[in-house]
Amino acid sequence: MKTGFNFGLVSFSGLGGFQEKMLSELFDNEIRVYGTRFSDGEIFGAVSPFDYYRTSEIARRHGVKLRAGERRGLYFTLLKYRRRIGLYIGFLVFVAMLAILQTRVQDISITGDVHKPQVLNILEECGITVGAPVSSLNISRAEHMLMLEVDNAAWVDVSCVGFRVNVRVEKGVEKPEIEDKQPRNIVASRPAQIVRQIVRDGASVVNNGSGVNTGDLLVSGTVPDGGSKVLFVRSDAEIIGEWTETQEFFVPFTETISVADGDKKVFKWLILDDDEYPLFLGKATAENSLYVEEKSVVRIFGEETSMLVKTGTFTEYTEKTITRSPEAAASELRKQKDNFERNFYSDYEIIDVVERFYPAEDGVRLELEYTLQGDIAKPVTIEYEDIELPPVNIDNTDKTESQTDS
Amino acid sequence: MGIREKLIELEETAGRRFSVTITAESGESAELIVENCRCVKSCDDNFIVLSVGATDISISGTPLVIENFGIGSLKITGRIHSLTFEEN
Repeated sequence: MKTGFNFGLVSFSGLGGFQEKMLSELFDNEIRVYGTRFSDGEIFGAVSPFDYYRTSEIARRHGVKLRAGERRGLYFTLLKYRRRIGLYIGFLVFVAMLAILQTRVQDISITGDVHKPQVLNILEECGITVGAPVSSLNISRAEHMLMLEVDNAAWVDVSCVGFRVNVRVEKGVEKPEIEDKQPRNIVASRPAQIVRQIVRDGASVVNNGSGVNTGDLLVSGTVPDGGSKVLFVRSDAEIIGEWTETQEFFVPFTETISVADGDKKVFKWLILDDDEYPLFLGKATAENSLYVEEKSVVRIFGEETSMLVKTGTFTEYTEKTITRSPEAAASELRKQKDNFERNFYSDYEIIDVVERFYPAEDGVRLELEYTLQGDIAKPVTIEYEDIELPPVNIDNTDKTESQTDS
Repeated sequence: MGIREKLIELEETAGRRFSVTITAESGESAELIVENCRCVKSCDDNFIVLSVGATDISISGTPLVIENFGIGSLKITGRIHSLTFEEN
């Protein structure tokens, strides 16, 4: 018996006749018999389904009444489903799809500290996109393009494994920031009154309480060396100035605004590690909508899994006309004031603010007078030619004296 | 002696040769492998007689199970009590 065991087995029992002769002939015919045993004049064993017909013939020749028993194995399973053509067609379609999909890029995996959309664009220029035939991929061109286009790329590797394109881009070590040694002055960035100053390097030329205009010198980068020469230094200082600013805000009583309370479109993705699988057809887009995204862990029978479901909701904006009471308008103005301070005055210290509300026919106007304090130091590089400077006499008392004498 | 006769003699010699291998552990089921056996002379659940060339091999034990593999190779498993070789 050459084949058959892996596909199935038929158990049999035989009664009467010449069982030894039957067994000898089965051996002679190279029919493999499994687990042959004798009990009370009966012979028991098992043969492959492919050999059963010959076994029964041999048994009949030797007068043994053979009776087939349990049938098990893949052969009989397939026999049971032989009329279910759909199963076989489905299997064949599955194999065919697998074979066809293997020939096209299905996924692009990008690793390394790079901007992924940029890498995807470069790959697209080289013809490497999802759905592109694997056989026509120009890997070396993509590698060259990535080396050229990605800033500070040390090395890149593009490889195609099965239907997945793996891209790895490694960047070189960023150049350390070297402190500029160029000498500089510090000037005023805006008109203000000097409140206090911390001068780390350079010579201060203003006093606290004095007023300065934009561009006025605050800290000089040229300092005397104690002798007859001038040293150029890189000034470093914090000059805190105080100034006032006036801002105005207006809120109308009646206004048309966009509110996100229209139709909702919900899209879901299944997240497995770094990969996202959309659970919808088409593209997840919606015009003039507010997009909100949230993730939740997938639970199976109450147990948390490593899978996540991302839910993206697009809510359409709708135009609405609203009417405010004077109190609501004042509240809205305060909200605008808070936003403004957060966005524009976060670097300054607000010393004082005077609020003045001016009700009008169509709305409320808010005038704010701010007293602010902040750093007004603005470094300006000293431009000079790299030549030996003539000695400058700082202390000219002697000269004056000698001139007076003469 | 011609080539034909020589081949016949070789075949006869090969037919007479056989080997018996026993693998046994005390108190456990033993395994007996007989090569070049093509005939079972008699058998029941406790006693098997095999014919190998000009020799009969009698095996007694409980319960004896036969399996064949390859060409002319038999494996008998069970608690073997005795093994007898006899010229026929």
